[in-house]
Amino acid sequence: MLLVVSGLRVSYPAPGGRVTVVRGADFAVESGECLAIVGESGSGKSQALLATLGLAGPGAEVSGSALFEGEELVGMPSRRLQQLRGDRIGLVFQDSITGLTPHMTVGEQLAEVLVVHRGAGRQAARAEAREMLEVLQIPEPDYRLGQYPHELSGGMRQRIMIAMALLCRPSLLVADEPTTALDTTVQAAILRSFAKLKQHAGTALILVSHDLGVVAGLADRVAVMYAGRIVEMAPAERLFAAPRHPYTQGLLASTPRLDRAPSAPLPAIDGQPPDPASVPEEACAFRPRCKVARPACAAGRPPPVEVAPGHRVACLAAEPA
Amino acid sequence: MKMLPFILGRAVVAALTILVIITASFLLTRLAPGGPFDAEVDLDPLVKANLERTYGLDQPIAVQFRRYLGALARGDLGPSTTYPDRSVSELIADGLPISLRIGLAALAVATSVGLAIGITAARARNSVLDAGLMGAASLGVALPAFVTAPFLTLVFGIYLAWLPVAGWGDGSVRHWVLPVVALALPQIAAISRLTRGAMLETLSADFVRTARAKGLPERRVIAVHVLPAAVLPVVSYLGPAVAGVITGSVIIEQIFALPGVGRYFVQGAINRDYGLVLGVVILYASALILLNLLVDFAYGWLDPRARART
Repeated sequence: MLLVVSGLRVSYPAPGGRVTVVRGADFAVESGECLAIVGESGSGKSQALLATLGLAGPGAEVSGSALFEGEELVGMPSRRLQQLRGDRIGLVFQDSITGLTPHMTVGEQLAEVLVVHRGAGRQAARAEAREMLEVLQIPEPDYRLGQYPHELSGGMRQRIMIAMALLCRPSLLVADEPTTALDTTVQAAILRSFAKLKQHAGTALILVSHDLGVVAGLADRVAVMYAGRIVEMAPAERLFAAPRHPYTQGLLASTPRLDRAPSAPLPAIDGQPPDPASVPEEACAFRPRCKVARPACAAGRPPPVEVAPGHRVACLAAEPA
Repeated sequence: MKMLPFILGRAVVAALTILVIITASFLLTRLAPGGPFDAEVDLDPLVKANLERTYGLDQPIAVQFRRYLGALARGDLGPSTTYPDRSVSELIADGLPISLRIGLAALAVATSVGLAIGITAARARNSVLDAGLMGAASLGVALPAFVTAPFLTLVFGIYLAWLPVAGWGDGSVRHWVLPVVALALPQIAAISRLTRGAMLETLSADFVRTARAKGLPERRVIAVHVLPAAVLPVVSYLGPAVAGVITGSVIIEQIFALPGVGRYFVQGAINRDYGLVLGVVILYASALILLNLLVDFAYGWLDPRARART
């Protein structure tokens, strides 16, 4: 296993005590595999990854374990984490206008990665950056290197960011909502390049998204996160075909599909995602919104149960098949 | 970027601005009650009329203005009525090196110390250090130079007797320190507050997270990615800062009895020395306009997005 995360907890200081946003997450990724982590905003899916990589906000407390290539990331000195980020572990965030440094050219921002991690000279770094743009099939690489971020389209900015994350040939790429701000055709192109990367370079991919449609074509396994915990994890095909957790079922039902009449109302999950400050520690967090909730759901947090090989569900209603 | 039309355009606007300033100052000084030859003891009317004729003050205002502009076009700022044996140009040439040194030193100190304090406070956000620095900065913004200057003199000039109380002496650094510090203090306060705010805003920008995700050392993140974006508001503030230093120097040169331009300005105003006041006004206005022009250039250099617009 390339990355093994277990019992991960992340909390932030807040007025009136700390708020826990990740409450014991367990997952693992292998080389060449794509794990998707899905959930609504606020479910803790981004925080779980940012925190293990030392990118959590000020005051964050991280506990549990995250072994990357045998090294423990939780509690690792920030200097060592720095060396891993951008080198062994690439990161891609949701595209935003200010996602790249506005006063530096694309070339400077790309080359910098190689200068810092590889001690490359400016010329060599630039040549290698150019090569990476070619690998990602970005047209006119030389022209791109001289451009500033404000001169690029959203899709181009995102491809530059992906190029940046891949420059040092990382063994793990973490992509946090990488296509959320982009239109569908660009989205498809970026997902295709991820698929190629996984296949040819053997790079492991963790794809964090709220969009099951994005995840469907790419993920080998899917983890569904709710209120800071993984409530269901299964091989992608199985999860889409036979979801067992009522929350996953709700999520899938509320995803628009082409094989359904466009006029048919889209089902929605009742209620609101829970406020991280008021998630009960000793009850199922989904219970208030759950259609199949029973009294026992309030009495204790359901433990994850393996319902089929590789398919784990944390729900009392999902007895082994 | 098309440089030449841009520079030419700005130069025309600058010249027009100075012309407006000259016209307004010319009229205002002459509208003010009293004249250069009014004293506590009235002059003999004949003597006064003679003097006014010598300086051309008996002419209608329009004629005086035309003559003044004509002389100015030849680079002549006219005579001084307070120092009858010297021209305004000579007086300014005498005082300018001193004022310039004090002013530039104050600006340099204000920018470097202000930036350092602002960055430190921002990085220690919401700590005791941050609160202390920003509290001091608020105080610094609120205290006028005529309060801090005598206070500094009292402490360092009289009680501790480390530095001269006043005067230029041989022009050595000892004589600069107190005036420069007094002049810089309010600007340090303003710049450090500005820097802290801009740093905090920039630190929360997405590109800072990207830079950290790339595994850059924190020093590099701050120096290469955050600072150039965070100093933009500070660069824009340099225009008003120069205005502050100029007005401050008028008071500071008076308090520390420095033979700079600011002192002539005060004397000129008190004695209704029209030529002297106008000369200094033109100097100050040109300095301000020139610096604002430099700020615009620096802005374009620091921010590629502004470059596209000019």
